[in-house]
Amino acid sequence: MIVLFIMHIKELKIFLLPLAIILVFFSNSCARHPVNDIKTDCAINAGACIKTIGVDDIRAMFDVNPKPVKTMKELVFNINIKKGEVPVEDAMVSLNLTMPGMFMGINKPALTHKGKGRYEGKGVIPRCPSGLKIWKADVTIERGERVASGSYTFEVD
Amino acid sequence: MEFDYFLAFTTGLLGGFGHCIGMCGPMVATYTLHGSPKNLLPHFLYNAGRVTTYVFIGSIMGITGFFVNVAGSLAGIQNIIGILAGLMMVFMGLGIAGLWGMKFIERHNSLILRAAKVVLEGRSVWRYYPLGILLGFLPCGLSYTIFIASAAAGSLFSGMFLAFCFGIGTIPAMVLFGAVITYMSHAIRGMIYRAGGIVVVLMGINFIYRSVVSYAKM
Repeated sequence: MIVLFIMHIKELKIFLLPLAIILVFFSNSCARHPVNDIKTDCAINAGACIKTIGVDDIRAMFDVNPKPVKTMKELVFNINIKKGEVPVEDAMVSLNLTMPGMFMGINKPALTHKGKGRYEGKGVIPRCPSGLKIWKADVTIERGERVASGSYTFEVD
Repeated sequence: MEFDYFLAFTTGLLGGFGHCIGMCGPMVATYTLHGSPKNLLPHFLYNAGRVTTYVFIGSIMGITGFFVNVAGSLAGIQNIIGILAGLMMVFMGLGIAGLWGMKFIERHNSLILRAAKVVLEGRSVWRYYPLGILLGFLPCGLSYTIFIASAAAGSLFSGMFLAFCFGIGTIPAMVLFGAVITYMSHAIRGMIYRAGGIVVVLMGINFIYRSVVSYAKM
């Protein structure tokens, strides 16, 4: 089998170039996975999304404004954290924005505590020329040595 | 801040192999197939041009501190460059396929067509540097992320150096990709080579389509 491969390597080469070009053509830069594989779990344009994350039953409400949420615009990211009905005010909260299936660089808007468990920061979601609009926000909440994290997958305009 | 520069370089290095080859790879494949450069110098010049543009945009972001405003001002230019790049790929692809030559340019001797002729038929290896400068403006999600960081850096030098570190990081992937295409373009000739030209034309149409859609949404 290997001998046959070596014997025909020159013939095989002629298929490599078109194959390489076709692969590049269809790689489409930002779109590495079929769009249908990526599911959203947060309708951000309809309002804030609430999730219970971590072992402490912390409820984290994620919101982005102004709406509709658009790429290449300055956005305000809000994360409200409560344990039961009590706002969590002693946490270190971080936000990491990524595009599912494609590395788009490190985009971590800095959040500051604005009182009553509301953590806020400004940031921008870059536009992908491929047209893909699904992004994921990973929220990490640190309280002392306890770390909890959750993610919100949403579509932008 | 030093860690941010390292992070920008790593972003370029990692993103180069996945993201940049997908975005800039078609153009690298196009000029490689069309000109068949016999060494790596054209690839280094093309990438030096691209990094020059990143440094320019990064320094503007750094000095103004506003990503959205500057990116908004550049959006129109970027889409026009995207359309021009796509047209260039279509012309080059038709040339590779042997379906279209320079006679059309010679007959219609306008300024733009003469400029296109310099890129398509020029003999100097240095033409790859301005080509890189021009195509460095192509809209790209990964470079946008670095320019957001450049704007947040808050000074001309920091913004410029962040973009520079990112650009340098993308070079290994792009040069390696160019070298592979160079090797393969010399290994094959004939019908299959011409078929590659048709694929280049299709890639050009894809570039034009993306830019027109992006322009329409502005």
